Amino acid sequence: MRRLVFLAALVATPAFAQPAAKVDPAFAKSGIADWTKPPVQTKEPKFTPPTVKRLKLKNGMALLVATNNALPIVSMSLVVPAAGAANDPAGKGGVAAYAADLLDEGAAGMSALGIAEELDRLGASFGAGVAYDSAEVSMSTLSKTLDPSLDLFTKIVTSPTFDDKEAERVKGDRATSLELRRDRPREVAQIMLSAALYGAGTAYGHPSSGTREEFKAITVADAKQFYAERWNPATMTLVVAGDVDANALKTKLDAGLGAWKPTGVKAASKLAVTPAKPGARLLFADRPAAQQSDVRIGLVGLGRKDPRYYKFEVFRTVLGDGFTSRLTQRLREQLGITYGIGAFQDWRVATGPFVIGSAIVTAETAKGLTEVMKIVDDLAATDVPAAELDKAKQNLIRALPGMFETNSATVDAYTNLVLHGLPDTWYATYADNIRKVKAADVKAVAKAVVPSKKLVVSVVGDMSKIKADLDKLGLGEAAPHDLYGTPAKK
Amino acid sequence: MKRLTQLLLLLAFATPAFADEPKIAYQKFELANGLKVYVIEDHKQPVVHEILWFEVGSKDEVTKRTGFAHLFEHLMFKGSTHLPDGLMDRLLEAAGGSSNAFTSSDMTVYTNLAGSNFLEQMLWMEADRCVGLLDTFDQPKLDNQRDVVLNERRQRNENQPYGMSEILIQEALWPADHGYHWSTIGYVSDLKAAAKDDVAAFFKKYYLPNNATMVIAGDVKFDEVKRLVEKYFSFIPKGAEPVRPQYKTPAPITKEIVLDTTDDVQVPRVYLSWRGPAKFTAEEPALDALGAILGDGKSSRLYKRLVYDLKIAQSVSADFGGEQLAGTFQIVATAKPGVDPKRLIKEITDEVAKISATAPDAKELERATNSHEASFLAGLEPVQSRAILLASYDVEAKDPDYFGKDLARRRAVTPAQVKDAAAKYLKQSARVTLTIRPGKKPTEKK
Repeated sequence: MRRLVFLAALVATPAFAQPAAKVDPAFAKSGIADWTKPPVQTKEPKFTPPTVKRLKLKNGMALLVATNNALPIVSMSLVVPAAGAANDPAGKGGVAAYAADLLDEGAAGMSALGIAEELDRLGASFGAGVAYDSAEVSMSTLSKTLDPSLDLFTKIVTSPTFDDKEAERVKGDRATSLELRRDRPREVAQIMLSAALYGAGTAYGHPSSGTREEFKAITVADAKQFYAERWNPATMTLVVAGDVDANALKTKLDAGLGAWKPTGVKAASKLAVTPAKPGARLLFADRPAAQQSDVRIGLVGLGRKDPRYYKFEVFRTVLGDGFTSRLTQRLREQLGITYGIGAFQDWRVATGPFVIGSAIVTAETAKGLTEVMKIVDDLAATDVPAAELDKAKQNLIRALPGMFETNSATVDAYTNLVLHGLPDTWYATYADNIRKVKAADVKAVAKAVVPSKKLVVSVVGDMSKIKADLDKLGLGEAAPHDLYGTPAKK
Repeated sequence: MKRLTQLLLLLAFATPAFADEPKIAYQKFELANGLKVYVIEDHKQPVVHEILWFEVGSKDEVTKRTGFAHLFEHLMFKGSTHLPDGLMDRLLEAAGGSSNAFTSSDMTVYTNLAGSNFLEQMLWMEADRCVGLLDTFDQPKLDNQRDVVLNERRQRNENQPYGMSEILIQEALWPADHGYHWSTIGYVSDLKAAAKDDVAAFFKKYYLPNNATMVIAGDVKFDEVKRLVEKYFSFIPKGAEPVRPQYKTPAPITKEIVLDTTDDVQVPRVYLSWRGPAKFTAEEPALDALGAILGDGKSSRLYKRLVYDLKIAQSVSADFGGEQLAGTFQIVATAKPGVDPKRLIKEITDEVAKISATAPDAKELERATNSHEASFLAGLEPVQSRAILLASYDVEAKDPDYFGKDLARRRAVTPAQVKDAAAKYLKQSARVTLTIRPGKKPTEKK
């Protein structure tokens, strides 16, 4: 019944005041006596997240299965912990990503194009890549071709060729993409920010695809070695959702992925992530004639296992998630100076960055940044009104079904738990934990975790038009960068 | 789109080959005022989706008001008689939901999502803006959303590397008196000229129950949906059938149109575009297969030739997109640094000539068909995409039961049909060839 109370409060709040209760002529014919009040909602439906079955393959690899027979399709993802960009060897940024990219470029006697053709024939789509804390290999396929699809998946994961010729070609493609980075200003703004928050070249402070300079020196031997040392089946988890039987799948996999016992695996060294010493708070790269400024505003945020997780999620929602968030309402719906703005926390194994991102029309860049700071300050100083707090909490709680709507979404939801070492039942208690959050909690977490005086601002835009205004923001001396996100030489 | 940048409806059409064929199960009713309503009962999750599809898009715009259908879409979120600006989204988000919309050349589609107990409120809100949008509409709302749309355009076009390409290609591919000549986002000068009176006229002309199709999908019961839709929508009067701009089939392009321009980019990119047939016409499946064989993924011919063997392109893609009046076949390739874009055009032209002369082998076609089928099935998985597909079958194929037929016609494609489609549509003399080279940022002429 909390819902009904909440709605009554919402409608009665002066901010939401209704026009006079005269029946509007256009609505008179509806026969509805009072159109001004939202209809009463029926009882809130219960939602139970899908359960997963946890099994173990012969080589120690964990298998998580969420069976869903609605459609004859299956999605899966193999989580490879400690094989992500944060594990790139010093000075070799991009190796983890390069290694993952090479898996399907030839394996177990099949050529790169042969693998691509076989995937298409099976109706399977395949992807391999890295985040900071892990590598991930994913596949979606038809249940009628699941067995041959799994055979192919196993070949790609366990027996990649790392052929010199193919590796050279892929390296060329990746190097070109790094050369073209200057055409991707949003990425550049993020790179500048990450380097400032964690230190250039550090585990979280370097771009996951590497830099032009470092990547040049990387060889196929580096990728091969990284794969041999870091891809350890005993630490991996395969998460599967869809039209599949868990036990039959285990039997099938035990003859493939579960029989994989590579030699040469080495224990991962402990992840070294520390915030960088505070430096410049305003970073910029000049992009002449840019009509918008790509901005990233952030700091080292919160750890995934911090007890304030739920409070922080409510704070983040009020601030910048959803259309009714304060950032969107102010910068888009009132000022009209952007098409979109949002606040994100990148949840990582160590503490990941908290980032507010937007593209703001050039002339209003400084004004937009000032508004963002004001909104952040206000959340740390004033309690969120009850209706707004409840809206944010309900939004988080009731959006939960959406996290399990498709097989691939379900896989992502559980992959996330695996990566952070959270229990498989974590989602079952989520709603109750969000419900407990109070206005004072939001204020406290805003003040402690996102103090505006610690926010670092990164801007890629037309400096001839905005630099003078940026310098007046009180962020101190601005640090110039080139359009690859590299600090300019003094 | 209200939030993120996508104006065109891109549905992945393809064809599963199952003994037990998936279909879109629905029930239907129609109100006396012409509103068609489809109900998809799917009780897997306690949510409800609403799709409201209006048959109006940028092709229905008039001179000097390009971009208006999409700008209008934004205004539908700014409040109505009983819903002050912002209340609709607050109510929806408090119910775990969200709202959005997209506009294309042909259509404007609104989407709502919330917990299933929110159904009645959702319909109440929807009816309120469909009846009373103009009651609270004013100049500041128009000015605000015009600014938002101009920022959307900057983000998608002016400030996006190669971002002016779609605008240039549409202008070249379709004559000035055709509704596909201008991009859905519209010209800046026209957006700036849009006035309050335009909003009222457009609303009264197109936002009618007899110009709309609704789909309610999710954890709902048909009888309850019918009762509530009747309660909130049946009093809305039927309107006059909109009289829209009519377009003749344009005279064919008989001489290649070559465009050369610059942008603030590192490497050249080429776009080869041709006109094609409309959506749901006979040759569409063959053209989709042709796109897959030529340029979808690593097993495609153009990837193999340009990226894998010759290493002259960083990426390449080919696809066909059908719309209501006609379609577009497009091949896009981005050069490796130092590669002359003319070389890319030559290699692509050769590959197109080859498939226009010799049919692909059956295995190659099978791969294209199978991977298409898989994405088609995956598109049924999210309830919202299934609901939009059903609306598209109703409005565009004039057959809500088209799913099975869509599967069948795609399965029936033969290698010879793929070759014939290439020979018929991908002639060099009918091509618009756009090259964007590194240089100055482009400026719009209009």
